[in-house]
Amino acid sequence: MDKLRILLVDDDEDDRQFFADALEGIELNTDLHQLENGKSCIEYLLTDTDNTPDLVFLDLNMPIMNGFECLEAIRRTPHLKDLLVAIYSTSSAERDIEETFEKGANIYIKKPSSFNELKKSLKQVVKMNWAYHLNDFKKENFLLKI
Amino acid sequence: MMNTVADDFFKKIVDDANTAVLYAEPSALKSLQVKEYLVKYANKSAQKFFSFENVENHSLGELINYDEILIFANKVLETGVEENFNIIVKEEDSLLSYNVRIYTFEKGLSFTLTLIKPKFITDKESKTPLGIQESRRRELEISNLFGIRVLDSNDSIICYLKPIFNKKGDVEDFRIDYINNRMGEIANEESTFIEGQTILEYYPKNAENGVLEILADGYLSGENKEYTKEFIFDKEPVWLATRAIKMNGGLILFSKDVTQEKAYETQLFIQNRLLSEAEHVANIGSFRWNLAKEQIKYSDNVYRLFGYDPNEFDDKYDRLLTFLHPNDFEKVKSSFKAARKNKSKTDLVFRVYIKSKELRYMNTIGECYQKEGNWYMVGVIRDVTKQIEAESVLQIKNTELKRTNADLEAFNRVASHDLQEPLRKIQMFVSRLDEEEEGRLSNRSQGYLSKIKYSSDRMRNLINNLLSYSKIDEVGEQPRRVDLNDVLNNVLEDLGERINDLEAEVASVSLPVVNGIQFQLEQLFANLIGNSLKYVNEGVQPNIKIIGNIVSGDKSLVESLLPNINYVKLQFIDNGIGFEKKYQEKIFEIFQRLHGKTEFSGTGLGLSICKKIVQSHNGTITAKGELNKGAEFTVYLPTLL
Repeated sequence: MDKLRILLVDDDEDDRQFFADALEGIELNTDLHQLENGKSCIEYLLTDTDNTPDLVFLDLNMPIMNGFECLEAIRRTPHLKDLLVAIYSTSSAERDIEETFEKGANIYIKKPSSFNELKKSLKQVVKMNWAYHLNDFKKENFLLKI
Repeated sequence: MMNTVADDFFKKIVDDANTAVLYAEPSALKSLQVKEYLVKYANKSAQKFFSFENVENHSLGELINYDEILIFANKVLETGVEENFNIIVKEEDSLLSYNVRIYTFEKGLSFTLTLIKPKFITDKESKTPLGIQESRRRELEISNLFGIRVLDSNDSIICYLKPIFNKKGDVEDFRIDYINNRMGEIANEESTFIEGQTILEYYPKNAENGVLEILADGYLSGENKEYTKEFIFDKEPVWLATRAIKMNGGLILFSKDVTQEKAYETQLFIQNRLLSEAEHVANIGSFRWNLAKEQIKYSDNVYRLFGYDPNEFDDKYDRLLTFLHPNDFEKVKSSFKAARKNKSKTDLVFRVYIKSKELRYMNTIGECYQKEGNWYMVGVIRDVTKQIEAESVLQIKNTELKRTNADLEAFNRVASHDLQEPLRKIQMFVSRLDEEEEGRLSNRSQGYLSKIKYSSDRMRNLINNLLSYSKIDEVGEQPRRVDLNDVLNNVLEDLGERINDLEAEVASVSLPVVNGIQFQLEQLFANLIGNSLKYVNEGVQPNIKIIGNIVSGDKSLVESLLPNINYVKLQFIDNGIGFEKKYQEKIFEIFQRLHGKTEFSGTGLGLSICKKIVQSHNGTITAKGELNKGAEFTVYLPTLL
């Protein structure tokens, strides 16, 4: 089985470290690439088209280009419109959650405050049978709040 | 005189003549104008005419009440020229005309009174053909009848008064010689009953109300008199406007019943007073402007609005313009110009400097209308300074409110993200430390770690509570029909574990339905019941009662309840530690904690949130407590409309 290619876009170094450690902790065959803002994310996805990831984790509050703008740019790009995007943010504001789903996010994970919970959430997302879920998309099923 | 046969013969003729013949000599002066005459001879007709057996040596004034006879007699005596005139005499129901002749004879005057009636006119006595005499007679009768008709059908009371003099020669009363039947209608009396009485006999109050005085003055001076007085003849007061004119030695009075007009006048007076009062109270003045002219008629209050006494400033249009603030001058001028030209409505706010040099805002609303070919503008002026100032205060307040709202939003952002972010990291690192160093830390260090965890949990709670407190006012969800039984059940389910742990007894009755936001009401119930489970007396089984019923709004229950509205009254009663009475207001204040942090967990926001939720539902919450006995919270929420 090929490695699951995961792209994490987050300006917070600590959070990226937690994420990487947690992903390592769930002992799945994954390949993580990390970027610091939306702009570098778009550039990466447009230039390295051979290495398009299977799953993108996108923070919302970032400098240069934030998560919302980045998400819009992804969905505007024809070959990226089906890319799986998970929002990974501190915000639990209903407004933000609504907006990201409207803009085409597939999943919403609120950054947890314990490492264990982070591992649990990532496990759930990574192991999800996406092919099955994408045919029966319901926001409620993809909203992971901890 | 008359002592010869011839004289006797003539005397007999004269005595038997149908014409009344009288001879009188002047005696003492009665007054400057009227002389007294003593009758020396009167024939049978004269005696009959005056209803006297023997008229000799009576004074003429006693016999006749026709002053014109005396006046003419004086004239004849003075000038020596014969006078010939007619008088009308009332006899029973008919009016009779007499021709009177007065001429000097010997030392006195001779009077003849001839009834102008056909039975006294024969062919021998008159050369006038019978036909002509007959037609004259008819003419006279008709004109008399016509005269009476005219007088009776007149709208006015017409009466003829003869003065009655006292010994000093002053007028002390008047005799009513004639009064038309109009008076009968007003006084409910026949005019024949009134005639013959004096005015004081008929209406004694005439001596007190000034009527006698006015009439006497009018008679003596010969000037026309006018007066309006109130009389009570029958039952209701009657106002009579009277004009008295001296005529033929008496007064003729024309009185008009003006009771109705007087009532209107009184009413008008009252209404004008009311209008003036109303203008005063409402701080409004009114004006009326004939647009073709430069003068404007102002009500008294217009002057007052400008700081002046009524009529103190010139009523010219140009004067009005001088009050204006220079920046408003053109605006007002052109608006009035347009209104004058187009007869259009005008509604203006402008600034003026009133007498005290203070600046005031005035609002004038005027409308044009046409009356009898002239165009008028009528309108009101009111002082709107207070409103304008209040409006500007309101604007400032609105700006402040907007700023406060913006601040609140900024706070929400900070609380929901910026504050949570570092806290989440602290918790994250603690959980990593806990995991990685499991079993390797000293007991003391493990204790420190627990304390960090506890404190950061508290802080998270605090932030979340602050957030929900600030979010209560956010207009998001529309109020819906909420069954409070569902609310209670959901909350009891959430709190189930704690209820079981404490072996608490929770009793409730069936609760009503309200109009509200379910999740907020759940938070309200959760906070109140949660408090009852938190602040418990050690060793006592917690007992919580929730009661709900419907009451009508009554200020005696709680000051802020509105009458005529039904409320759902919810009571949350526990047997916990309660609180002192002096805290029953304070406990709803934000961050108000009655207990040490270690004793009971809590952020000091729970009851503030409750209060805010209840308020946003247009309700009221009150607290009652007794230390160590228990607490009772009462919530009033308006029922479904």
